[in-house]
Amino acid sequence: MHSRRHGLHCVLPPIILENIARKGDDEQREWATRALSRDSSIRLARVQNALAGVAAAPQRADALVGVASPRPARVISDAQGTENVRGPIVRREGEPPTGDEATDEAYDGLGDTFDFWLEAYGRNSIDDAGMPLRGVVHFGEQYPNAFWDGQRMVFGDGDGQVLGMMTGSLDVIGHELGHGVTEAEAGLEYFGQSGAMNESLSDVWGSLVKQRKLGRDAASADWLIGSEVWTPNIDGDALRSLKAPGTAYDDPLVGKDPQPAHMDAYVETIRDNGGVHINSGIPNHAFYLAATAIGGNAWEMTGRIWYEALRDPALRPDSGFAAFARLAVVAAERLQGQRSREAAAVRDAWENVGVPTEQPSLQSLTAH
Amino acid sequence: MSASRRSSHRCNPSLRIELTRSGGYAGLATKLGELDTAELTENEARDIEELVQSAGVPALAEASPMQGKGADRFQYDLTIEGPEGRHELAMSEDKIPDELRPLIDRLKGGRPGSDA
Repeated sequence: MHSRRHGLHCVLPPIILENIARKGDDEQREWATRALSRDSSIRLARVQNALAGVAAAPQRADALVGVASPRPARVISDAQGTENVRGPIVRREGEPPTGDEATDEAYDGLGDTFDFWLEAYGRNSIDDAGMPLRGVVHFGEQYPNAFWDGQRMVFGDGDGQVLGMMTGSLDVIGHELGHGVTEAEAGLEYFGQSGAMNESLSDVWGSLVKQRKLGRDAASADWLIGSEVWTPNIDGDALRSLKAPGTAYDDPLVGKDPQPAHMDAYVETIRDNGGVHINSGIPNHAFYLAATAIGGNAWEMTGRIWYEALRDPALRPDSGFAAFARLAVVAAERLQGQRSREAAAVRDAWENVGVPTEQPSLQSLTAH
Repeated sequence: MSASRRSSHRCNPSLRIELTRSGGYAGLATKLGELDTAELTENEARDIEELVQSAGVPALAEASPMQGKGADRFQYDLTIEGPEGRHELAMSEDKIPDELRPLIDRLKGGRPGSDA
């Protein structure tokens, strides 16, 4: 299959390769970009600029040779069924697909997530300074989980009974990389309410990466997280739903989705780092309400407001829902005006999940 | 209840231990194992009691939750109930104290739980 493609590119004019690189599906794009990269001309800079969303007139783009726009630096390593996150590197940036599903899904998903951050918010990788994207696949033995270890995104193959391969859902990859972004910004502590806020932000970014990739606006998105990870044994649409927390699954083996959508049902527990994957339903639903009220592509205005709130220096590691909600309102007012319908939508969204957004006082933001 | 049953053929009251895994990306709570020393042979019960004794459970409960780095790691929740009360231990999968590993491995991989 690859040899046929490689042969083909020799007879395709570069302009067609460029078009494939810009408009093709993932695989085509990958292949065309690779084919073009053998041709070290200004064409590559132009395509890369276009892919990175750099708005420049064609002649300007030609002049940008050598001024590389940010590109991901992906490194995928294989834990080979152990818990060693420093296993052999199986695919580096720019290398062709390996044929191993998890490796190639992780590579592609991290690329899509990198593109999301760069093109939607101008953010260059996890730390906004081009941090390499390290992915680890085949972690552990039938390990039914994916996590961010502080430096890398780690994916298990699933147990095959309840959960399948973790790299199969783009929003899982977007979720894990999102934890890196949150850690680099507010550093929300992963426990209790600040932890649930941290979790919610990762669900929001994961969902937005997928929505942008699929070209879905707020009204047509499914707002589900991990819709591909249950095995057929489990009766469930997904792991979580931002649209309707608590309804993603209901199954004799794994029970019912425990997420609340309102502060009235906030769950106090020592499990799950104080219920971070449970109470995240509350801010998740607030994002959904804001995004559908504001309308359009959720990653544009509503996502931008959430991103501004996350980057606000007033958001502290121990901040909870209310602090974030106030900063989201502040961000919406700053971006769109105090009396804007966007600011009103953000206020209403938080009020509707039982989180107050009244005028912040300095003390309420800092005192803990 | 089981304590009195236990004391009818051994001098120590029983320990009831339960291990649950929570958290992780999917946020599922899964019971991994449980046991009641009253339902084990005398040797097995003694082994478990020694594991619990040497692990220093009250201090570990005090140190809970033992949190790991990053996000979405599994958390192990160990509940130990005995004559000295009930202890709840919570630890990230990358923060399991060495002294608890034998007990956790026994509960995870070992024999069926006490309601088998």
